[in-house]
Amino acid sequence: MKTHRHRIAIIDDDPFVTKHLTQHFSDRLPQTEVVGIGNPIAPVGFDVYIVDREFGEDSCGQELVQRVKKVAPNSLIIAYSAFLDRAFLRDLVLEDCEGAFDKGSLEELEKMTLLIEDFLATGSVSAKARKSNQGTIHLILNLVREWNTRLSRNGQATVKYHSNVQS
Amino acid sequence: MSSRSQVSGLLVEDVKAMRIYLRAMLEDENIRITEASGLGEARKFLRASPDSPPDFVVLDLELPDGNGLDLMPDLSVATRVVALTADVTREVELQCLNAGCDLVIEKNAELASLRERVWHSIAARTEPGVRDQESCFSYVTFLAEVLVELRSAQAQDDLLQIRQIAHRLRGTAIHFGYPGIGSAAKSVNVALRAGQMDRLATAAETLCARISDALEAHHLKTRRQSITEISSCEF
Repeated sequence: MKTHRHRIAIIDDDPFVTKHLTQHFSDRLPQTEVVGIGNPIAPVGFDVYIVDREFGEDSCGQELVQRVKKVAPNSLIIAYSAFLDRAFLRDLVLEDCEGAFDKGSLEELEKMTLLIEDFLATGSVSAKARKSNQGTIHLILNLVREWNTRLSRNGQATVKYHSNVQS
Repeated sequence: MSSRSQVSGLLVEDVKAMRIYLRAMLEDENIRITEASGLGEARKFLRASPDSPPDFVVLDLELPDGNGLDLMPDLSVATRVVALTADVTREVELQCLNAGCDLVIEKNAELASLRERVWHSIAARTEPGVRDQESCFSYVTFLAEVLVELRSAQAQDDLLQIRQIAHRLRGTAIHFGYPGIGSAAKSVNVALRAGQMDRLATAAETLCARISDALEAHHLKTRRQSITEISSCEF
């Protein structure tokens, strides 16, 4: 019986990042096919998408996450950026991005790898993996969620903020 | 891809509790660890098995029978060396890199990442070597180019260019064994985002200094490797 070979897309315009991650995942997840993509496109056919935030001077990571979500709604989408500020994290929460990890930290790479391993093994992100693998970023996301809830209660809906970002 | 079962490591650390901790962190079915409590024991181990040097050495700098760096002449150039110290200053880091260490890790702050960093450090030799070696050399070339670009951007007050360079270095440097460059790049980005121009100037200078140090250390390491290769040739 033919088994499904998992595929990971690394969408990042920095060749050092794609090369490094390709090698890292080939080592850690040897049964997985890893493809580096240098342009901000959303190709179909991948189980996991690791998406950069900035491409050249364009900060189009959030829009890219949206497009990936459309073409592969059941995939695991992860933001991987050298700078994760609160606004970006909030936008990611709105897009149901499963994780956001800091490029500048080896611990974050390890956590991201464990999250992907868990997803590929189970087909979903377990509560346990969510809790243990998203670390500080996950804590920030929780804070942002709380913050959004409070803003909504005060009549400052997050959707309004979201549309501002889009424009 | 090479098998992880081939990897062996030597822990040189005088505090037994720390050795137990490091062993627990590093050792698994694929990594074989040998312990040494000082320079004497480490040398004894290395001399007993000259044909199979360890893939990596985790080396405490403050040992009861001397400075950890005194072990460097006894190590094979193929062995990756991770220096451990209680306090990483720029001087200590440079001293270690000049001596041929691949990484310098602060005991208190950075041990959680030790395992991952050791793997990255030995990857160039144990993983499909040529590609990794090429990547590492490409990255050093990239650093040399970036230093020129950064200096030029500083001279022209080109904040966008400085930001883009810092952003890129922040996301890649640590993965190629240059954590100091990564943290200096982060400081540049933080200063830029906060609009603190005086802090930015200092941070950008530090970033340039870190890149220069890395290039110098790479140059020295390459030279050391060449000298070892030449001296091992039979004429």
